[in-house]
Amino acid sequence: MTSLLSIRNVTAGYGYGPDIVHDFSLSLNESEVKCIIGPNGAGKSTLLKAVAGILKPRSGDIFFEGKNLSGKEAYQIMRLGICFLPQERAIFPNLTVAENLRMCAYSIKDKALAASRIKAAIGMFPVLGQRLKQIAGTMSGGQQQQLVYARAFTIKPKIILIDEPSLGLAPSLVEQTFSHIKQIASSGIAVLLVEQNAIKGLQTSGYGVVMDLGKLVFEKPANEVLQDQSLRDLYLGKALKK
Amino acid sequence: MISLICLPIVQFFGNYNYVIHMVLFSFLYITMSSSWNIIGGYGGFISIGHNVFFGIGAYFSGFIYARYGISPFYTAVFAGMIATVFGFAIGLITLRVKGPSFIISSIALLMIFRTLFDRWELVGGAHGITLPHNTLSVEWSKIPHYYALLILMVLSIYLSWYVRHSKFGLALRSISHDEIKSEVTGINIKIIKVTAYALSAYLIGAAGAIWGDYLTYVRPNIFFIILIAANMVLMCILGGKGTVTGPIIGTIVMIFINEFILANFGASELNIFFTGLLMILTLLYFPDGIIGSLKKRKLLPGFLDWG
Repeated sequence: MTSLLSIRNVTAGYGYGPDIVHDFSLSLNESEVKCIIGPNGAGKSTLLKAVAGILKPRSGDIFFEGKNLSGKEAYQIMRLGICFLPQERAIFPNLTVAENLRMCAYSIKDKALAASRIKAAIGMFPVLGQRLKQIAGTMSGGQQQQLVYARAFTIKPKIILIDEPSLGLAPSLVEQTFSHIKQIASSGIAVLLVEQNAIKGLQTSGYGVVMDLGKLVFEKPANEVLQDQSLRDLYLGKALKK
Repeated sequence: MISLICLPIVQFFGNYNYVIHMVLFSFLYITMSSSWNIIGGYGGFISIGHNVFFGIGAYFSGFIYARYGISPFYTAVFAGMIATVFGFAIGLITLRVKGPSFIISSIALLMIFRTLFDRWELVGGAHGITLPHNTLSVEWSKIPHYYALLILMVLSIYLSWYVRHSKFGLALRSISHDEIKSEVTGINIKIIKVTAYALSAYLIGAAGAIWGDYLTYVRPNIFFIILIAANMVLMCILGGKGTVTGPIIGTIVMIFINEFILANFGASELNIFFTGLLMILTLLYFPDGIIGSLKKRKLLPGFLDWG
């Protein structure tokens, strides 16, 4: 009950389609890092969308700091302190870097605070400061990643939900991305990560959550999951028989 | 600007009604395309039924003028407000969808209003409303409209510029890229979209009121035709949608080409043919429009670069 985020018996799906996430429960404490892993179609991204409010759960509740999030719009959930970084780069490639940073700080009403946060983010990622007038989509992949994670430091959310951060990235960028995530985690922000690259994801996290066919398979400290032989089996499909 | 304010002086030296007419016609369309640019250019919602607000404004003021004798010059402000209210109501419904569905819904909207006003006997049905002509002499009768539309044009350009540089405009442009990404940045996208739609209706409604008085009649087959909406969209795209100066340049270029062809080839409707041709060429080779293309190539002179 005291956890920062608690997902209780959530069932979710799209349109009139079948349930993608079945009766799923999970909790996340302050400054904790959890990584959800599982094969394609396990419902990992769907779960994050349900938490972020983009998708309304069919049943079950999600509590954040004791408040029920059901019926809240995505922008309201974000303003409460849950930042969602969607799959693909969470930036606006048609806007300039400066405008993207203003977008990051959109939910901050206090103009002076927003400006100082943006300044602080530029301090962390100096390359963005040099390219303020450039259209974000024309920057290199690594610079765009910096812009994505600058958001976490601009709005200082309590939780950050990251959907497949390494998807479609070159190996060197994957390294960079995970170092950004570690940076976010070390600043005390709780992270809920969904990742295909299980090993990288687990190395970054405190806990590993294994999900398959919309259900929780098990949850263990990340280093134990890494050593667990059954993880390998899971990806090969043995979990279905269990 | 000053030359535009002083232009009516030419009337002292002879009858330049044609010049005055062309300039105020440009004012009208700059007002409309700049307003349209707010939702269509910044917001990315291509509305091909935006002259619904033009018609609503014209009918509102025209009806009051015909029945109570209050000149549309006084009621234009309220005509704009009525258009805004309709904009809110319509926006709440149609802005739920985007892309082609939105475009079709905007065309449907226009057809609904056309049918509605064709049948509505109180406002004259298909005959519309006939308004009294003003009592000024022929040379000066256009001047009140000239200044009224000049004011509306300046307001529309200012509004467009203001939106382009505001936080509201930034949110709008992010929505045009991706609604979900925008919403998870903490933007109440519904409010932003509907506000932009209503805002773009305001000056179009006010311009409709003035235009009704200028024509001295308000009829469904003049105000609720797709040609007007198509023109504002085409002018905006030709100049460069999503830029402040684009709609202005696009309007001037298109009106010029249109008049040039009309003057040289007569009323053979070749002008419509060339308008279409121009649009196809623009969309194929310069989808960013004149200003947008120049800006991309960094060839845009500074005085035209207002964002």
